[in-house]
This record gives sequence, C-alpha cells and structure tokens, in this order.
Amino acid sequence: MKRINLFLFALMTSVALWGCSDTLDLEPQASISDVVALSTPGNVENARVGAYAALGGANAYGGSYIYLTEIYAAPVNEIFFNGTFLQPREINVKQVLTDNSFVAGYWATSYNIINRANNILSALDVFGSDTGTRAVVEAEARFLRGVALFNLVQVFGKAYNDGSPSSNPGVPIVLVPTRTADETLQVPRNTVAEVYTQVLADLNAAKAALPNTNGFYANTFVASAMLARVHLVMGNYAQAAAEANRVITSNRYSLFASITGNYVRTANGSETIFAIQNTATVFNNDMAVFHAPLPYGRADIQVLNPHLTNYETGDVRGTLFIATGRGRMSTKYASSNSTVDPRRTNITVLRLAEMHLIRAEANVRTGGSVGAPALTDVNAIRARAGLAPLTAVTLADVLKERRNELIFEGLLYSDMKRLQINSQGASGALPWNSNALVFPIPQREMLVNKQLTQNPGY
Amino acid sequence: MNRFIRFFLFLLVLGGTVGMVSAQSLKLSGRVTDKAKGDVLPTANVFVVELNRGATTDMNGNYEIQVPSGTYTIQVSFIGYRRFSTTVTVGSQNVVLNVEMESSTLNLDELIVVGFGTQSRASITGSISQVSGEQIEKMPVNTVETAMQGRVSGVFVQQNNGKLGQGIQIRVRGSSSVSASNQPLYVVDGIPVVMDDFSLSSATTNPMAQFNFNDVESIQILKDASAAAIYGSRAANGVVLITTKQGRPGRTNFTYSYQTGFSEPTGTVDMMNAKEYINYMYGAAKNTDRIRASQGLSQNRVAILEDTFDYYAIGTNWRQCLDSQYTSVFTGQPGGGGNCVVDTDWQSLAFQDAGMFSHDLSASGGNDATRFFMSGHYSDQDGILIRDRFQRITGRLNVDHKATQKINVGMNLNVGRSFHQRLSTDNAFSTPIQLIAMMPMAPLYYPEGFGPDPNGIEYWKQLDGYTPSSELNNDTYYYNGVIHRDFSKYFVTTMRSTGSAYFVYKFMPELEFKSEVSGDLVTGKDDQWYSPKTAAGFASAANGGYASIAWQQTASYVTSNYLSYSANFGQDNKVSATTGMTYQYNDYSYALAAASGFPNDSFQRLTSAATVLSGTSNGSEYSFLSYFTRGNYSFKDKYLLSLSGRVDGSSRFGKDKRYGFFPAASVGWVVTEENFAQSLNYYLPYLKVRSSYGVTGNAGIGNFGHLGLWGGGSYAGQSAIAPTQIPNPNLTWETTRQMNVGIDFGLVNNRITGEFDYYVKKTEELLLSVQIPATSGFGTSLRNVGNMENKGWELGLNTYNFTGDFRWNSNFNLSYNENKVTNLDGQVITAGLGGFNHAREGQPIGVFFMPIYAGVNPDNGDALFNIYTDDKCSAVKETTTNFNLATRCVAGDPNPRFIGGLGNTFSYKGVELNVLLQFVEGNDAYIGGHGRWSRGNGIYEDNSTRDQLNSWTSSNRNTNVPEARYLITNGNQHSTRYLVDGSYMRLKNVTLGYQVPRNLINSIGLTKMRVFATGVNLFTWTTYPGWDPEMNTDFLAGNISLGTDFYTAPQAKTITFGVEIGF
Repeated sequence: MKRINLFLFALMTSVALWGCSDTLDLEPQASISDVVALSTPGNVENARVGAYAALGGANAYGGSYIYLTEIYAAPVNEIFFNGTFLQPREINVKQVLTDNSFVAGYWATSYNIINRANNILSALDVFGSDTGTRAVVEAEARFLRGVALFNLVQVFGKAYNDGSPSSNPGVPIVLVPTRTADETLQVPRNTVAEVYTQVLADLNAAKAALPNTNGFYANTFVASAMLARVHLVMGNYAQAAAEANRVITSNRYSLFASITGNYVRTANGSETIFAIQNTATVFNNDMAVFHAPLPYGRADIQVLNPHLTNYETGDVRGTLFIATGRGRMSTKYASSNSTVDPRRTNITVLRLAEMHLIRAEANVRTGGSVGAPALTDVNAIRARAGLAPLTAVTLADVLKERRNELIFEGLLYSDMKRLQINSQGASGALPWNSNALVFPIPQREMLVNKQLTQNPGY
Repeated sequence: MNRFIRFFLFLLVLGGTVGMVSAQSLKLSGRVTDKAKGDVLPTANVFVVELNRGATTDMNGNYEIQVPSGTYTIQVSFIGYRRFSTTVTVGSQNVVLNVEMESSTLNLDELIVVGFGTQSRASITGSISQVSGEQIEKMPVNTVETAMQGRVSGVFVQQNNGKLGQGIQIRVRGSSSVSASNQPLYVVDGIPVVMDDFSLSSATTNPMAQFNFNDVESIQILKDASAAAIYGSRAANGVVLITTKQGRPGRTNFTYSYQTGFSEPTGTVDMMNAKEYINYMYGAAKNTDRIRASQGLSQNRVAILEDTFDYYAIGTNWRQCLDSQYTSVFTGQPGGGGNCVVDTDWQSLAFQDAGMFSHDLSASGGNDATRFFMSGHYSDQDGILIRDRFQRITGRLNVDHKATQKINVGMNLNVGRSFHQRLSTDNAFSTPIQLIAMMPMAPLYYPEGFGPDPNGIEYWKQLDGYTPSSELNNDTYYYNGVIHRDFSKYFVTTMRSTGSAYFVYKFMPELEFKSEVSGDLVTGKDDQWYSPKTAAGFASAANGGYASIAWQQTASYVTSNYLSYSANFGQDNKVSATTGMTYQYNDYSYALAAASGFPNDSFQRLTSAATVLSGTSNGSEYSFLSYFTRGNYSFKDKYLLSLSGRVDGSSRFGKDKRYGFFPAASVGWVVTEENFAQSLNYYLPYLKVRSSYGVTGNAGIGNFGHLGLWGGGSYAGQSAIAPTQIPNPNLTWETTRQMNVGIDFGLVNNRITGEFDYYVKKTEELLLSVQIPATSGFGTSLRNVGNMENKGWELGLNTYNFTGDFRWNSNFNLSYNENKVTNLDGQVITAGLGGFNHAREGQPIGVFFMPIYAGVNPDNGDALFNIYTDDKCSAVKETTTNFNLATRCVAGDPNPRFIGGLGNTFSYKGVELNVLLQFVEGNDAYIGGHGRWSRGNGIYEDNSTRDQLNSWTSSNRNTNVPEARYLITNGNQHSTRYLVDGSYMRLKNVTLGYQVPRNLINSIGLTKMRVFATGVNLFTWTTYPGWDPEMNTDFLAGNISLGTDFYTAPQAKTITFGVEIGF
C-alpha cells in the first residue's frame, strides 16, 4: 500500500506541475506592455512627459544639441576641446569619423524623440470627447517632433543656404510610431527642403494649438520662438521678425537685469522662454559636465585667448569665464559658488534676448521695423552688457551682439552656416560649406539601413 | 554518490563475513592505508580469493579475517585506488598484513556524477572533465574557477583582473553565443545555483566567490551534448557539477587547517621618473612649437606646458631637474639639470602589502544509518590593490540518513557571508591602477604650509624644496585615487543560504524515486560612502559627501522529482533509466537609496544626510519547467548506448515558442573487451571509442525579452512613460548542436591513461541583439538570428612515471578551439574600447578591427598607417599619416588557440611536491590604458612608459616610436601599434607538503599532521608589455569585448604557509 501511495505521490507531483504551465506566465514589475501603454488618457499624457524627457537627454538639449554643435562650428584656436573623450575632440578639430558615437547618439536620440512623439500622435483617440486636452497633447508632440527634425537636418544635411535644398539629401522623415522590427524601418533620406517643410508644418501646427501658458512645457510662444529660429536659418526674414515679435510683444517675458541671471538656474525666470528642466535628483546635463570645472564637470571646453578679442572693453559678457587648472572655462554652465552643483540646474534652450536679436537682424536685413527699430533691440542688449548704446546699427553690429550674447548657447553652428563664416580645424581654415562641417551619417545606420546614402567626404 | 555504493558494499560484505565466521583458529589482520598520505582507509574490501571470503576495514582502517592454514591470494580494493594483490602463507600463527594502497589514474569502477544520478566511468559515453576536491583544496585563490585553471581540458578560465571577487570568464569549448550568456550552468549537489551578479557598477562580480571550495569532493564538467543534454535548456555552454563532501561510516574525523601568506602583483609597468618625464614632455612641447612655427601658428606650447607644470608642482621647483639645454620661457633661466624635488612613484601607490589567512575546521563520520559532513571556514584576504579585501565565513552541514531499508532522507545546508571591500571600475579615475597616469613631479601630499585652494585656481608660490604635509594632494592632473583609499568606502556584504532536502524511496532494488526541494537565498548589501574630499573623483560627493545603500535579494526555488531504474538482464545486458521533472522559480528584488550633505566625515548613514538624492526599487522573476529522461544500455560491458531528452519551458520566451526539445544520443565501444584485444593486454589494457550527438539550449538572456515594453521615468518631477523594447513574440531558445567523437585509453599496464576528443559545436538561431535603424527610435531588437561554430580537440594524459617510494605522476592537458561567427544576418556588432572588438561573419568572436600601424617615417618622425588595396587588407597600397584614411582591418583575435596545463606530482616518504604549469597560446591582447595614454607621444600630460624615451628624434631615426609632440596626435589612435601577443605560460601553482609520520604524532592524539607551502602565479613567461596578460578590462568585459587592458590590475602572486591536522 505504502509503495503505491508514494508512487502516486510522485506521479501526481509531476502531473500537477505539468498542468501548471501558467507558472511560466510572468510579468515584468517595472514596465508595462505596449498594448496597454497608450490605452488611457493618463498614460498618453505620461508618454508626453516621456517625450520631453527624451528632448532633455544628454544627446539632445541636455548636451549635444548645444555644446557639440558649438565646438563643431567654433574655430579650434578659439574654443578648444581638451578632454580625454575622443568623440568631441574629433568634432572640435573637424575630423569626424563615421563611427563617432556622440554623432550616433545625436542621431539616435533625435529619432527617439520623434518615435515618442509619433506614439502620442497615434493614440489621440483615447481622449474621446476631451478635445481640449487632445489638441494640446497633439500640438506638444508635433512641437517635439519638429524640434528634433530641425536639429537633425541642420547637422546631417547641407545647410539650407548651401546649394539646392530641394535636391540635397536631408534626413529621413519618420511620421509613424515603430511597433515591430521589420523591413518598413528601412527609410531613405528626404531632401533638406522636405525636412524643413515638415519642421514648419509641425511647428506651425504646434503654435496654432498650444495655449498661452503651459508650465515649463511648450506653449504657443515657445513654438513661435523656435519658428523664428527656423525662419532665420531659412532666410525667411519677414517671418522670422514676425515670430520673434510675437514672442516679445506677448509681454510675458522680460530681460533679466544682469545677463548672469540666465545661467545656472533651478527654475525658469522672466527671460526664459523654454528650458530643459533638471531637478536635484533627476538630471541630464552634459553642458555642465563639459563646461564646468571639477568637481561637477570635466572642464574640457577651453576658451582660448583669440576668443576674448571678440568683446569690447567693458563688456560684461567678456568676463563670464573662470580660470582653472585645465584652462579658461565659460561660466554659463558653472557656478562660482562651489556648493552649487550646476548639473542639477536647467538648460536654457530659448530666451528673450535671442528674440530681440532675431527681430533686429531681420529688420536690418529687410529694412523694416517690425515691433521696434533694430537699434532699440540692439541697444537693449548692449545696455545690459554694460556697453554704451549705438547711434546707428549695421548688420555687422547685430551679428556681433548676437555672437557675444549667445556664445555657448547652441547657435554658433547654424550661424556659421547661414552667415557663411569660415571655421578652423586641426589642419587649418575650413570654408563654411566644407564637407568636414557636416556630420557623417553614423556608420551603424549605414550598415543596418541600405536605403541611406553617406554624406560627401566620408 | 559513490558513498551509497560504498555503503552498500559495506553492508553486503559485513553480512557475508558474519555468516562465514566459524571455528577457524588463525587470524589474518592488518590495516589499510593510503600510501601517499598515510590516511587510514575505512570500508576498503579485503578479499581472500581461495576462500571466497572477505572483510571490510573498520573506521581505523583495520580488518580481521579468520582463515585456516594455507597459502592465499589476498585482494584489497577501494574506490579510487589501484587494486592491490599479494599472496600470503598462513602457517601456525596469526598473520599481520598491512596494505598501502596507491591511488589510481584509471578507475573504471569509479562513479562519475552526471546530471540526476551517477554512472560508472566504464559506462560513460559522453565527454566529462573532472577535478577532484583534493586538487584544488587549500589553493590560496579567491574562487573555485581560478583554482581549476589549467587543470582540465576544454575549459578556459580567465580572471578579468587582480581585484578580488571580480567577474570571471569561463568558456567550455569556446563561446557559443553572441548576445546571450556564455557562462556554464553551475549545479551544486544537484541544485542549479543562483549566479545573479549583484554588482551595481559596470564591473561584474563573481557569485562563486562566496563558495568555500574546500568543501568540494569533486567537480565534473559536462562538455558534450550527450553529457549535458539532461540539463538541456541551459547546457549549451557546458555544465559544472560540484559535489560536496559526505562522511563515511566510522569514527568521526576532525580536520583543522590554518594557512597564512601574502600576495604581490605579478608584474609592474616601467614608467618614467620625474626627471625623465619633465624632459620628455619639454622636448615634446618644443617639437610641437617647431611644427607650429612651420605652419605660421603661435609657438606657445612650451609656455602652456610650463604653466601646467607650475600648477601641478604645487609650488615645488620642478625646473631644478629640467635639463640645462632647455631655457625656461617663464624664468628665462636654463634648467637646473639636477635631481627632482618631487619624484613620486605613483604606480607603487596603487599597491598595498597584502596578507591573507584562513581557518578551516571540519568533522565527518557516521554510522550504518547516518552519515554527516560539517565544516566551518573563515578567511580574510587582502588584494594587492589599495583597500581591496575579501572576507568569507561559511558553514556547511551535509547529512544522509537511512530511515528504513527503503527510505533515505538527507539534506545539504550551506550558510555563508562574504564581506568585500570593492574598488572602482578600471574606467574610473579613482581605480588604483590609473594612478600611473599621474605626473611624477606632482607630490602625493601638499607641501607643508599649503592646502587645497577652495577655488582651485590659485597659482602656487615657488618653493625650492618640498616638505610634505599630511594632507593628500587634491590638485593633481587626474584625481588622486589615494584619496579614495582614505575617504571613501565601498563595502559589499553578501549572505547566502543554500539548502536542499531530499527523500529517496526504493520501491525495489532496481527502482527508486527521489524528490528534492531546495532554496538558494542570496542577499546582498552594497554600502557606499564618499567624503567631500573625494569630490574630484566622484562628483556626487561634492555637496557634503555622498552615501548610498542598496539591498538586493534573489530567492531561487527548485524542485526535482525523478525515478531511477537500473537492472541487469542476464549476464550481458545492463539497463538503467532516469525520468522526471524539475521546476525552478527565481525571484529578484532590489532597493537603493542615496543621499548627500553630511555634517562631517563621521556621519556616513543616510539618516544624517541633508538631501535624499534618489530612492528606487525594482524586481524581476523567471521560471523554468522541465521534463527529462535518460536511458543507458550496455551489452557485455562492450557496447554502450545512451539516449536522453529534455523538454524545457521558460518564461523568457514568447507564449507559443517557450518550449524547446533537447535530445541527445551517444554510443561507446570498449574495444579492449573484445577477444582480439586480449593479446595486447599489457600494452593496451583499455581502449574505448565513443561518439555523441545532441542538442542543447541557451536561455541566458534577460527576462521578458519577447514583450513590447514601456518603462517609467520622470521629467521635471513629473512621471513619464516611454517605449523601451520592441516586441518579439517569436523569441525562442538558442540551440547548439554538438558532435563529439573520442577515445579513452590506457597504455602500458595503465601507466599512461588518457582521453582524446574531437568536437564540432554549431549554434543556431542565436539570441541576438540585432541592430536596427535608429530612425525607429530603438537601437536593437532581440531576435533568433545567426549562427556560430566551435571546432576543436582536447587531449588529456595521466602518467605514472615512477612508482614505489619515490613517486612521480604527471598529468597534461591540451585543448584547441577554433571559434567562428558564421552568420549574423550581415551585421557587424561592435563592442569594447573604442568599439574595435567586433562580431563579424567569418571571423572569431571579438576580433580586433582597426587600422594597421606602419611604424615611423624615418624622415620626420610621423606615425604611419597602412592603406590597403582592398578591405581584405591583402596588399598595402601606401602609407598615410591620416588615421581616417587608413584601412580598417581584421587585425587580431582575442581568443586563445591552445590552452592547457602540465601538472607534476613528486612524492617521497611523506614529502610531496606539486607543480602546475598553465598556458594560453595564440591570443592577441590590446594595451588600452597604458598604450594610447602612456605611450601616446606626449600628447597628454599623462606619465609615459619608459620605452617612449626611444621616440624618434633627428638623431634616432630608426625607431618604432613616433616623435613626441605635446598636444598633437602622432600615432596614439587605437591601432595595431598597441596590439600585442597575449600568450603566456605561468607557474600556476607549486605546493610543497610534508606529512609528519604517524608514529611521531599518535602520542599527542593526532591522526594526521601535514605542513605545506603553496605558491600561486609564481612566475609568468610572456612577451606581454603590460602588468599581466591574463586580463580583460572589467567595465567592458563581455561576450565580444575581449582581450583589452585598460588600467587593468595584474593578478596576484601569492605565497602561503599552512598546517593541517587530523584528530
């Protein structure tokens, strides 16, 4: 009897577990399935926050969009990347290899932002009758997509004013979210003109639907400010002036009394139009990592003497530097108070001074005076920098103010291109439209996507 | 498992002798001992052939048999020893016959542990390597794997570096996967153990470091498909079966041993001293200014260098040792040409005096019904690097109890705690070895009267002399890692309880059922603290210090239930079979909190912190459900057949694809059992030919790879979600098909025994992280794509060179493996430093893919690289100084071709000497850190290796070292300039022991006393120019990232002395 019982026991144990194949159905604890991810309005709004998080990533506005383009454009004898990272050094000396992982990260993160935006855009129906929320979420997603595409096309394609944008290859435009890994992921490059058309379409749609206030997220004036930038790059000066003027005359923003008010901020201020938000606990700030001295940063981006000659005597902006054991650094992303960790502070993307300078430049170029005469705008900026007002203003005056005001803030590359300023690499001078001043399509992309073509010179 | 058999033999023979006792008047008695060690051998069988009568030795090794007068053949046998045979004539008096047994190299009766059971060596048809506990016992190394190094064929063991407790690379017959795990499955006493790595840094740690390998009875490594397929699901990388010790019936034996010793690095790198460095760099800066002059650029590089030196000399007068041929740009004076004020040997500061000691106490014994083994272990080992330390405490209890004739129960219980003072990864400025990059003219301590400037920007007043203060210099070019030693902690404490209980029921002698339940509970605490003084090396420490605490736990539960059947049908047919199921569930959880802002360095717990920086928790689970069966058949002990199959299900795969079937078959033919072979009996006493083929699987990937997932996160304090993974519902097992043919042989009266195996191992449907266009928003997708293969052979030889009083045994193993990635769907997967380790079709995994260095242009000192006519790099077209134009080529292979070991044991009257040589041949190695940065033509301010003094100058044109040029790249890019031969042979282990004769110690109540001295890694023969060729930088080490040295610490050379006593 006993023997039979035991035998049965053994048999039953085995059979019981055989039947229990649901013991293999386990769920992750810190992730949710793609099936439910976009199934509720709350989830889609969370996905919207997730898309902003990607925009603040170290390979986007958390760093690369700003410092990487800046050291790429800058003459190497003015701004010198002296760190041990080779990738930014290659970029700084204008000898970029196709396997540069910072370039690949710039590309990948930009498309990650786009995929997150496209996911949101695919799920708007969950808002049902709540058309108000739907419109705002949709507009924010389009803003984010437009911004990412704009930052992509500038560095991976020839400039808008370089040859024929309607035939120059730009970057692939991806408008649908990725659901499975299949052949449809092999996308070709669109032309530069097509990409700009998409950028304008996204940003204009965002501008139209975004509210006047939206916390630190994009509002309609943020979209306008970004449009002003895009139009300036495209040479659409009238539109650039109009968009910049719209931001200025909204009267929602005012210049700080001191330019230093713009830097190492933990919250947006009166001059801030749009900034990447870092908190004390969650932050991505490669600006501080590469600009700030120890202990918070690596103090890698050195400001060399020739740069200082750009500033007039008495220009406050010519003093925003700190000498360190590793050379002279900009203080735009570093605090003189060593107990403040600059990595845990915001990164300004758009601020009011830029709008004044765009309006001034466009007015000078068109001979107009949209909003205010160019002289008024320029003198407002000069006054804050501690400089005497000008009595008359030329294009060169505006551009000089622009450069001195916005250096290290992510505009040097697009200005170098659109203003056709030559740069300098390791082997000497490089014309603004040199092949070496356009990023290569990352090698890994070339390998996995047969539809892509490489940029000339690589 | 051989303990069962021994036990039954004991009963059998005991029963036999009881029946035989009759009225004989004479007594044959004696003691059976181990010839080499003098240990008594209980349960040995003593047999009188003519009388068909025998006895078993008691717990003291004594036996007694009643015999009538006459001449008899006496045979004594004991598992693991050569059969002893002699003739004895019994006259009119009692006879004493003491027997010394010699251990055997070829013991066909020996039981080999296989998956879910044991088999006699004679009936094995698969490929199994074996290490006995004795071979690795008391090795003063950190983990069981390192102890096995060089001892078995087909098993490549590499410790990433000389830090204690760190990750280890084990490959059984090569790498079989690109993206999934390549580590074998570890099974201890039948239980697949938790191998979760709790390391929170990018450098892995080794969970087996907590295991006390002095408890090991034997280790079997199942290499071919037929041996391993019963563990089908996870057997593609081989299976390591570890069996721990068990007691024998008889008196309780206590053993205590103590060992103490010291370690030092196996090698150092020859760096420049301060004087050489200053003048080398000065020359480099002058060279740069010369070049800049020719380009019409400002000549300020010497000034920049002087400025830099002024800063980092902390006020000391470095110009005192500048050559007088140079005139300072700043002072206008020629260099002093004297000795340096400060000459810091930073490399020596990376190392510490490393001591170690261990205590082991064990007791084993039992009676007819119950047997037990218990042990306690405590060891404390310093690493060779500053602050590195590993402490281990373990306790074990193994009990087996025979409750009735039909029921056996038992348990194995192991508890342990390890305490580990960890170091930063190789990539951190704070890792000790990175100290070599420091300027040797920078002082370790601030000069007396100086301190760190709070703003870090002041220039120091010039000092002619240097009197160090007690404050460590925090104004160094790179972070001064010595500060980390004194002002941070990184304590990892791991507690592990592994217990299993089993129940065996014998339905009949041929059939038994075994049920096993086990739990393996591992808890790890990761406790870190960084003083504000370490802020330069650990930025998060800036605001009043930083501390974090993390707790991790893995609970693994396994149950196995199986029936075993074994029977003989007639004389010729032997059948055995095993069938059953096993289920494993693994639950992992994790919590971490971090804070900053401590009042002072005395406060290191989060409760005292001003700001909580982060708090997080997570968890994950997986499960496996499996059914297995195996059948063995042997005909006349001559023809052998084994079939096995396993069905495995895993939670890691898509619902419709989660079950895999893993069958295997093998056959064997014992040629020497054939009549025609009998005539060769002396020269060829044993020959077995065997062959196997089978399928095994690999599920060594993360959990939930088949699902489409969104993860949580935050932005600006608001919660966020974002897509993290593309779904792949078709994700399934990676499968490996392996063919093995081999022979086992004994030659010349079994003085030479050995085995030879040839195998072909083909992996299909690789679990591959496939790169997809990043325009999708994703980088990779996990898919079953690609093929890989390993081909190779293995030879193992054991010889008895001398027998008798002076004994000399040798064992030799040699393995050859050829790995090739045959299909990756056209992809190239890059990894490692600079992404130059590749997985490429048609090449071994991890090949170095980089430009070929062409030496120095003798006319101008420029570094040159090759441009080839095609991308196969078959013919050089021209050379170039432009690195970007140089052709990228498959330049080297990090995988060894040959690995092996040669062990020799000499013994003479209680003195025993073991010498083990281990070698690795045919692998290329890349010197990353001290290549590009310390052999970098003075481009950076890092200190350089002394061989750079041979750099090109107008009077030294014939050199391979390019001209030194400060701040200009001249050949320090990643290229074959830094690719070298990584082959080595080393004196892995030397042990000299002396067994004190029994008669000297019996009087003080001891049964055994042995004193010994052991050395590990005593000498290494290699051309490798780094610290140690056994290396792979810890923060990158992986399946593809191989053979790269990046400030990778050397292995430890350890010498210990010990004593072992038995009572």
